[in-house]
Amino acid sequence: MLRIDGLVCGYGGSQVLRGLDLQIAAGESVALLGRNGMGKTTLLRAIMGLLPAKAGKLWFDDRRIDGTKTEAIAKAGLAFVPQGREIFPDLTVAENLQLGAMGRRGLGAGIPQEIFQRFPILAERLKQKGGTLSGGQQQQLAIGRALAGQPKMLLLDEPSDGLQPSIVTEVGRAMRREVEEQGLTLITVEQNVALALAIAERCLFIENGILVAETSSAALRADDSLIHRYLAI
Amino acid sequence: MDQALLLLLDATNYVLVIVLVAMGLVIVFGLMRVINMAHGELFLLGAYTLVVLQQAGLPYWLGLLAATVFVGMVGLLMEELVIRHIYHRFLDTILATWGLSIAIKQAVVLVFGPGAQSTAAPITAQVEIFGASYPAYRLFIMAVALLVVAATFYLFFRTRFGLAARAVIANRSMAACLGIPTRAFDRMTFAYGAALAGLAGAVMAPIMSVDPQMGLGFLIPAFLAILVGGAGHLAGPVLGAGLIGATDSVTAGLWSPVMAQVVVFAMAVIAIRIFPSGLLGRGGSR
Repeated sequence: MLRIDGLVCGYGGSQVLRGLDLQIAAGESVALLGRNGMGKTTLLRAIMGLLPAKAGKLWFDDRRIDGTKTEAIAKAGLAFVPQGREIFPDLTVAENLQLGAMGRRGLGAGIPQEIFQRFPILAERLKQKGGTLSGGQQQQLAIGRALAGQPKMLLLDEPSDGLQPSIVTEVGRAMRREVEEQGLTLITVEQNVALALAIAERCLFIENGILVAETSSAALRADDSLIHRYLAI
Repeated sequence: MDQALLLLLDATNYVLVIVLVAMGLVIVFGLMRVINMAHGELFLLGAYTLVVLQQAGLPYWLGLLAATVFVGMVGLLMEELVIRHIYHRFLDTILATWGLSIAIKQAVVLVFGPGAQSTAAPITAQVEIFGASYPAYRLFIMAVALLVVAATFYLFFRTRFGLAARAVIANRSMAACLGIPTRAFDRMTFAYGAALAGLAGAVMAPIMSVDPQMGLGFLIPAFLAILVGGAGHLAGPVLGAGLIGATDSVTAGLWSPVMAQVVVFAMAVIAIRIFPSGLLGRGGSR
């Protein structure tokens, strides 16, 4: 579903990604692990077209997406939940979800009701401004907003950032269900290994802008030497 | 009593006219962070569109519609050719739109000459309001202004189009990530602001001297209204225009027009000193 060949990308003169290759099949849930500054967020931003690729090619659903505008990439079926969530704080929960729905599916689209089954708290807070929600609720809103567009693939950046453990577990469970029941393809960038293992069946390790190792979640649970090598400080 | 009523009507009229001019300006300035120094010239183009069409023998109402559409299209062109290259370069937007303002003004002088043109109001009747006689056309202007304010609020706060436009303004890259075509909303928002200026120019043309300098007289109070009211919310300039317009009309009526200017500017300075981001501003940057 997503294929990346030799992606080079960075900010200004510096290169963060140095020829990264990646392939993800439809329906797969993949965790991207690595220390800070290794290029995880940069990769997600490059896929969304927020950062131009300096070299390399990207395909989504057999369509080239490098050099494509962000809105067109979103319309093709990619959704993004950035680190820090970036919900619209002055808009209500309902408006935030509505934007997610109509951004990809046109002005006439309504909010899919499944969102409220996934995240019941959002149904209770529809009229409340996004900025007044707790961190965990904002994360659920950001994910709900992305899912409201019924994307084929979701990029999730550090969903556990700033959340208390009980909510992290809840978010992990919701995402796992989305993958298993709705067939969503998912890339999760995480520092929290437990959450990554709960969501993904395959784990990729990124270091200095390229993928350096990959393993199944089951294998990683049995043998955590990769974690020591690529994540421990 | 009559005197007081007329003063009240004139004050209301002036307030609503400023709101009408400021509305387009605030959509472009408050929402898109572009100071459009050419807004007065868009107003001017609206008035001249009406002049041309009336001289061609076409009815006023058609002129009003044509002025709105034509100036909206000029706005679209301005956005595409100039403004889109200088978003986020605040000072440059002032210089570039100032240049446009001079160019448009001089183009009008070249085509129509520096003198005043005249247009005819479609309504010349006077109406009796509580015993006082008042021109019906001024009431029409007030109705247009109220309608424009209501329509603008409706568009931006009650429709899905408006929701998407506000999302683009609040967080551009996130809006794009949701699939919202950000460039299209830039164009439409700017064109809408320009179209309002064109409409204001055509509506005001019959009761003022239509000459190449006419845009300036309303631009300054409109900017003051935005500064006093705050640009963070559409209601800001409406409130600001109310304060500026009422103060000006009442002082001019009771004292003198010169003192009115002094009082208005003094009030604006004090208001901005106490509320640096406007009465409805959100303390600090937006």
